[in-house]
Amino acid sequence: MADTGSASVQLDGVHKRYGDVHVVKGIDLDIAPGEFVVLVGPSGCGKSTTLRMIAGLEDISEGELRIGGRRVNETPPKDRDIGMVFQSYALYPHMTVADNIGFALKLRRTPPADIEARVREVAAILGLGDLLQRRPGQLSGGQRQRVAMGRAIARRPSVFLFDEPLSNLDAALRVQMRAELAALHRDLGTTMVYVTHDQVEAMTLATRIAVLHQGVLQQVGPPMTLFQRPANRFVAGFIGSPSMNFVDGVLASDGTGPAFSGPSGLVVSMTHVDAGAMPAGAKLTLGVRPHDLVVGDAGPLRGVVRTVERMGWEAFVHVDVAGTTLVARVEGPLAARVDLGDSLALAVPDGVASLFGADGVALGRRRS
Amino acid sequence: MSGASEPVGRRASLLATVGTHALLVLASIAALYPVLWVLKIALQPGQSFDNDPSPFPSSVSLEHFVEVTSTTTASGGWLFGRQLFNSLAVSGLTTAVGLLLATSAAYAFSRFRFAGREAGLTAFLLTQIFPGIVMLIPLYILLDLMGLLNALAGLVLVYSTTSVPFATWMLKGYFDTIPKELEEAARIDGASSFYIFSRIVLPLARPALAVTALFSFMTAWNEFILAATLMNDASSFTLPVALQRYVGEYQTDWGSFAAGAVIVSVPVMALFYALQRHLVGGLTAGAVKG
Repeated sequence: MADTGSASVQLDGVHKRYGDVHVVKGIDLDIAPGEFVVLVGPSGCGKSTTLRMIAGLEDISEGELRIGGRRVNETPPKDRDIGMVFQSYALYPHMTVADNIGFALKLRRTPPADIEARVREVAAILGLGDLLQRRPGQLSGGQRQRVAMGRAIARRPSVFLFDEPLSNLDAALRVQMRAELAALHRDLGTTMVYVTHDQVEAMTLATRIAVLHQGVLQQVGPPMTLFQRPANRFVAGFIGSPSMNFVDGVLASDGTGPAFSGPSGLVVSMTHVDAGAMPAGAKLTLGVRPHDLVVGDAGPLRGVVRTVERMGWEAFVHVDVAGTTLVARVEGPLAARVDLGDSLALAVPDGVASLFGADGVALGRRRS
Repeated sequence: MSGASEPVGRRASLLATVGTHALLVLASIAALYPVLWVLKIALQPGQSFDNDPSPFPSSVSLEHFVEVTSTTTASGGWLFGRQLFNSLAVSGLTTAVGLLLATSAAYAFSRFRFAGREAGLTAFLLTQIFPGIVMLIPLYILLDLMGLLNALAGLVLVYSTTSVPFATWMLKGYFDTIPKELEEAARIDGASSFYIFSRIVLPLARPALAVTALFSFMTAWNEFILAATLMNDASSFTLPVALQRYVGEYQTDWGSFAAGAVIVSVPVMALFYALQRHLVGGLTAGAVKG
């Protein structure tokens, strides 16, 4: 197989149906060569099915898939020039690490000397040099993960597909492998499509994130765009940890522009939001991230601390404000001092909160 | 835990160990006693069947073994050799045919969804419910129509009809436990369906293949009633049928019969010994699923 570098991947109105069950409902996604796109969403949102359609392991019910500009709907997986890493690694248990990595090359009738050279090269990249004669059963989880990646890169495909590759690793190893994956993408420059339910992986690895929910693409964009300007309530709640706080209320006006009027007399100026022709009194949801809430002795919202999650320098406090739980981030001395039952005041600063209409769609921002 | 309770716990576990071993020794004696008795009768000269409870022979001679293995046909040919060959050929071919058909059938049942899959599996299971003897008369008529009565090929065919469904179920259960991702990875790597089957799935199913082969071979090797009915010429008898000639209407040559039984059981024991490494894994694997 020729060294083709990196290819684009385009999904054009792609659907997947299993009988009456509509799993993927028309996805349009344009992935440029060399991009690292992460498909993220809760279980059953259709992200893995989408990846498997790109791989050719599932038929496409409707729509078109192009890899490198070429329609591949009917192309068998082996001719799509892809490499895939599975959640379970799917290493061949009866073959050595070297045979696993070289398997695809052997099937393509590459001369044995070339296979050996390539396997050594890949093993060097992934730090597997000493393990080549071992079998998968003799390796640790992290090593198996590397072999699975080695098998995918040995053939120099122009697109890599990852299906939740880190979810079987323990937390520390996951952080390490995440960094290695990012480095691998930097070094190889190959297009990567990566599926995960972990929004931290999505935020740290992606050049662009595509959020899926119930088979529908919710928003596609760079991580910080999704974090700061979520398109709807689902994306707002899914991206960011801990989750964004939501408070139901109505549209009001504070003289200078639109404002949000919530329970217990909470009024937040929303001059950065374009309310358009929305009438005063229209139902809205205010979204504010835990780190945006200002915690102090004075503020419009007063509540009682119900839970404290201490992280060290910072802590997340769950504050019960008249029946609504808001999560706020505190740091430094306050993080060490805050305790259950404490009374805290919270304030929402101007210009940081998002507003969502009754349909869950975010209100646009005003250009300044 | 306080220190005082430790010796009590240790004593209890010692008692349990002694009890377990005593039980195992008793069970071993119960299992081995009849076998030793057969060995004793086979080795002791004379065809008598004494009531001495000792499982060890009073004197040892190989005369029964010589007698059993040196039978001849009317024309002076080596009859025992011929019958040994019959048994080996029928059992070996049954195993080969059974495994060949069953591996591919089981793989299809395990991996593909097709019309008639459920019905096929159920039908295969149904055939296992009836004992072979129920099919004796239909089988006899069918073989007669095909001109395969008294022919080794006929016996292989009959045995295969029971071994294929059994082997298919055994192997399907094992194939179900092999992760699908392995085959998907191989497909992406560029392997054809047949390559995946022969180089990925079959090597991984080796324990199940060993167990299934052993069961097929053993069933065919030990089978008596069908062989006795379908074969009517001494030179086409299998060994279990040949042994029957020592059990007469008025008198039984117990010594020869026992020696024959020992000889017949040797190949199966050898197979068990050769495959024992695979047996435990294969049996449990088949048991968990399928």
